[in-house]
Formats: sequence, structure tokens, C-alpha cells
Amino acid sequence: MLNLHQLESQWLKYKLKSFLPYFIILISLSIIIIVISSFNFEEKPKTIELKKELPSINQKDVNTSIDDNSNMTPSIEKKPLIIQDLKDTQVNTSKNLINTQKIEEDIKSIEQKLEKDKLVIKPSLDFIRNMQDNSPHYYNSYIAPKVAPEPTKKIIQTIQTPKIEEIVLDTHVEEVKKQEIKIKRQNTQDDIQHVIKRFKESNNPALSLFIAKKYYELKNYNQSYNYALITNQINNDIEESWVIFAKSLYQLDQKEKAIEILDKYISSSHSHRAEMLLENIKSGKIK
Amino acid sequence: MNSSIFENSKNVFLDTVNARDYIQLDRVSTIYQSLKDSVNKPLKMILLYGKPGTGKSMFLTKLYNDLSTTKTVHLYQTPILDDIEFFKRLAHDLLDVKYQGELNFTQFMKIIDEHSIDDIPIVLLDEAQLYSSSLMEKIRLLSDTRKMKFVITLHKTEKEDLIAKEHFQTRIWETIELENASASELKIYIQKKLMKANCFDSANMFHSKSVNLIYKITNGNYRDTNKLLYTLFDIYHNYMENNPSKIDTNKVSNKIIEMAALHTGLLHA
Repeated sequence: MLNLHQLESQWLKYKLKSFLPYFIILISLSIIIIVISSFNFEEKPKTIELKKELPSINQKDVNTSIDDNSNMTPSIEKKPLIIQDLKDTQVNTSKNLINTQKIEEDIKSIEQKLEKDKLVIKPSLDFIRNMQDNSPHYYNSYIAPKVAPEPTKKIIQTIQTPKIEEIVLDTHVEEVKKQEIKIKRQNTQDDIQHVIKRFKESNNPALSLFIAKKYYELKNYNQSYNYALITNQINNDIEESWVIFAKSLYQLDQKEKAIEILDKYISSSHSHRAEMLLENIKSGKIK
Repeated sequence: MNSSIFENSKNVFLDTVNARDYIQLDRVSTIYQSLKDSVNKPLKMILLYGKPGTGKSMFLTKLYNDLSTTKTVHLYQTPILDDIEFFKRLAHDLLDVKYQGELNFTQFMKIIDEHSIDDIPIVLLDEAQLYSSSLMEKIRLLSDTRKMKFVITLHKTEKEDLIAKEHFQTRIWETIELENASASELKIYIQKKLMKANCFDSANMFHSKSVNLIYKITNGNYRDTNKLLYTLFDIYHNYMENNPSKIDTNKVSNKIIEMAALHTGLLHA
């Protein structure tokens, strides 16, 4: 005779046991979800802060009534509100017997101001420059280092930033355009000095190679030779450095030495670029 | 539904080897036919093997029942483990020789040589894995005389596989493997078995879902299925007598299947 009661309790125990893994999976999954979602909540405010940082630079200069909470775009949205307010005041003033013509002029001037404000609230690209300064890719392109602000640059900034001194701005725009080439030249020199300073701090061969290349571009072959030599001493496996080294030697009228160095380098590295340079040097094609 | 239906259904699944309980399934019928054909071939030995509960003993019993009317067939369901007793039984059953005293293999071979046998007898040996390896070797030598034919069944375990390899690999000309039923075969098996005993109501209670659960528990093993269903109907019978409101007689409850499996030890709480 079967004991059904005992069998039923045994079955209940079995069922609970069989569902246990699912319970564990469910609980662990919910824990994972909670943990992930809590991480997301923590991260979100950070991104907002970062976003806020960008316009904050210009917001200081902006002479408008934009709230701290608003981003750059809402400023445009606010424009009709201000106008509306002003229009309301216009109605009120008429009631108070104030000259409406004067108010209209005021509105126009404010609208003009706001139009200019729209231009001003464009995101500043200063942060990109900052990022580029910190990036390690020195080979790719020349990056403007932090240069002490010059008067001409200040003028550019004043154009970007909103100020009511429109008359002054207009007169300086042309001056800025004329001086642009000069600024670049000054920058290259300054850059090299800056990079040299950084190289002395870090002893990074990428920096010394950059300096060598810049000096070569500036036709300062003695310096380009020196820095290429320094680069090779730090890391003798940089092809470009050997090329600059040989080219500098060639430019310093040491063609034979340049050929000898390239020969040695080619024998050890089989560099195709060095081979081409060697051919060019031998045939005198190099400028 | 009457509680006696469950009582009758329960008895259907009693674990007995009876040729009348043989259930014809497509695959099983094909295998059985190939076994019958092999018996008619001039083979010395036929090996029937498979896991316990796959129906080897049932096959052998069915074969004995079918062939006994036309051929000389001797079925030994219980192994005769003593060599002397084994040869004495064979001499008595096959050659009608009542040997007094001890009969060893040499003496038995001499008796076989002395007797001319027209109709080669078929010896069916069940549970052959229980025979000693020396006796198995002697059986092999007996089959080589072509004076008798052996059909033996073996459990398919690692050890028995070894026996099969060592003793019969070169001698056996026919090996037939029996396997567990598939889920669909199991459904047919259960329903046919119940309908054969006129338990139509209980046969209708088995839907694919419940059979699938049974298959999951028993892995299609006929012996385990019989054991499980015997307990299942016992539980139904008990509920019917004590608490009939707790059961649904239209279909087999998964709960009762699991309860039966727990009781038989096929599932563990």
C-alpha cells in the first residue's frame, strides 16, 4: 500500500529542488541588472557635467540672460520669449503713455543683439586644441602648442565672444586676416622650443624625431642632423629618423657619409624607403 | 472511472517475460524479422545484445514460441553455470541422452560425434554474460561442430563487450543490437499494451506530453517504463479509492508521473 501523503511531500520537495537553479539564475540576473543600472545612474550625471563644461567658457563672456541650466540651443528658443516680453512691455508702456517708437527701437536693438548672440553661442574649439596638445601623435600633423595669447588672437576671440563693442570689432577683422601668416611662422619656432622642452622632460624619441623633421623643414640641417642622431641613439629602429639623418647629412654636403649610413641601415633593415633615398642621393635627385 | 480499471492497468505493466505480452513496434518487428531470418541461415552463432531492459529476454522468448512449432528449439532463460551440469542438460535435451555420473566437455563431444543429427537444434541462451569465459569458449567450440546452433543474449556493458570481442568476434556471423524505444515508440508501446488488456480508458489518458515526460525519466527503457507505469497506476488506484477528487482521469498528471518516478527511484528528491 502506497503512502500517498508521504509521496506527495516527497514530490513537493523534489519540485522545490528542481526549481532551485531557476530561482538562483533569476536572482543573480536581477542582481546583475540592478548593479548595471546603478552604474548607469552614476555615470549619467558625469556626462552632463562634461557637456556643461564646454559652453561654460563662453557663457562667462556672453552678456545675455541665459540661465545656467540651459544649453546652447535653448538660447535661441528663448529669443521669442524675450521679444514677447518686450512686446508685452510695449503694451504696458503705451498704457503708461511712454513713447512707443522708443520701445520699438529698443526691441530692434535687442533683437540685433540676440542675432549676434546666436553667433557667439557657437561651441568653442579651444577644448579640441587642448586635446590635440595632449595627444601623443606627433608624426601626423603639426599641433599648435599653448602659445601665450597675442593681441591679434585676442581680437579673434573677441569676435567669437559676444560683446557689444561691435564698432571696434569691425575695424580689427581685416588686421587679423593680414597677420595670420606671421602668426604661423612664429608658432613653428615656438612649437619647436616647446617640443624641445617637452623632449627634455620626457626623452621621447617621437618628440626628437618631430624636432628633427621640423628643423629639416626650416632648413636648419645642423639641428635636424643633431636631433635625428639623438633619436637614433634612443631608438635605432625608426626608419624616418634614419632618413632625416641621411638627408641632413646630404644637405650638409656630406653625401658620402649619407650614402655610407644609408648602406649600413639598408643592410640591417632592408628599408625600401631608405633604398629609394639612397638612389635619389646617388643620382642627385634630392633637393 | 472505476478504480478496477487502474488495478487492471497496473497489472499490465508487471515485469514478466511472456511472449503473449510482446508488443509489435515497427522497428522492433524489423529487428525480430532479421533475427528470425538469421536463425534460418547456416550460421553457427547469433549474438543478441543491448542494454538491460531493451527486451532481449522477450525477443528470445518470442523466438522460442515462434520456432518451437517448426524447429527443435531449447530455451535456457536461467544460466547453468556449472560446466558438467550444462553439458548434461544439453545431452538430455538435444540428444535425449541421460548420462550417469560426471559429463565433461570431451565426453560430451564424443556423444555428439556418435549421434547423427538431421535437424540441427537451436539453443537459446539468455543472460550469457553470466557464463564463465571458459564455458563460453566451449560453447564456441560446440558451435564449430555445426551439430547445434546458438542464439545468445548479452547485456551491453563494457565487460560484455569485451567478452563479445574476445570470444565471438571471428565466429559470430550475426549480431543484433536492441535499443531503447524512442518517445513515439514508447507512446505506441504503452497504448498497445493497455489496449491489449482492454484498458482503453487508461490508454486514452496518455497524451504526447505525458509520454514525453515518461520518456525523459526512463530514457525509453522498456523495463523502467513498465516499473514506472506499474507504480503510476498503483497511485491512481490509491487516489481513486481514497481521494478521487484529487485526480483527473482524462489525462495522466505529470505530478503523478513524477511521484511514481520518485517512488521507483527513477527520480531523486
